[in-house]
Amino acid sequence: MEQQPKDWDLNADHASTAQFAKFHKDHPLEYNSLFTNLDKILGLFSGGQKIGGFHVGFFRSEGGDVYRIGQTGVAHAKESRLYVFPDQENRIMFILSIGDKDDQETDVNEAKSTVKKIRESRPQKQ
Amino acid sequence: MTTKSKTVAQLAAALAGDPKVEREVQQEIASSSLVSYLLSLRVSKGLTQEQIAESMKCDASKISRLEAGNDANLRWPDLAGYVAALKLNMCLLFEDPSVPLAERIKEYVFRIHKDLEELTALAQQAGDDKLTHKIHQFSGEVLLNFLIRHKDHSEKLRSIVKFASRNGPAVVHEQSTPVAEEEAKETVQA
Repeated sequence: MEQQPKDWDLNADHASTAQFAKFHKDHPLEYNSLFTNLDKILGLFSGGQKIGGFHVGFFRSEGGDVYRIGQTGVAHAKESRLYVFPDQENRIMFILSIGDKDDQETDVNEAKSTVKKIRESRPQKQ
Repeated sequence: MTTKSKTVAQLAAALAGDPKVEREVQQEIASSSLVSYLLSLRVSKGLTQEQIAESMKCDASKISRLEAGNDANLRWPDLAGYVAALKLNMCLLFEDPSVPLAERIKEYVFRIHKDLEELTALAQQAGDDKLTHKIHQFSGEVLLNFLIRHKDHSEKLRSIVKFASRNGPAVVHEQSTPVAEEEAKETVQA
């Protein structure tokens, strides 16, 4: 019988709880929708899909290994984004930050710099 | 904040600092389980939203909305169209919970038998030695898989019977025997 690959881990070590708590307070429905969509994406990765191997409307690359997950199904929603770094090699989904469209540029740049730090903090492979 | 190995709902609650969020996200995930399943089927078949849209004679944005929505927003014609675009058959199962478990198990056995018969017919029609051999091999795998699970079930039953014998009259009558299992294993090996 085939051995199941290890499930993806979630890692929020680099996320600001204050930022997430505030976003949830301001936009609770969008917040829940973002995490529901994160679960859908994790389902695809756990099923063996590779990053870039599929297209889903609410999951987009922002470059520099940063991906954004959008909210869906919320009437009159504030355009919201959950920024993640799917580390395919180690099967870890890093949760980076959360924000709306207005702060997109700053959020993306910060997320990219966080990914850089994550990569630098790892021991180099021989 | 170390949050490794938690579920998405638990993580959402931890980050929001509000335990109620866990249940809310869990409910939302549960309410889109069918949509998530359809999405995973499309992706695993390597199909794009455009290909599904073409087959359903609609715009790709509709497929995007469908996949981003929840099960309650799913309309029957869209579901049927999406499944057909995936080239899958859809079966509806209406199960009566008042039917005894033993009857349901018998029903499953008959259904498996029917599918195996279909496989045999396929082998006959194909007349291809390689395919027939593969089907024969698969048939053996089915039996082996069944035996492994049946053995596990038998052992559990056996322990219940032993416990009941020590503590009162036996209430479970085991029908399979280790000898029968050994015979079946030999059949597979042969």
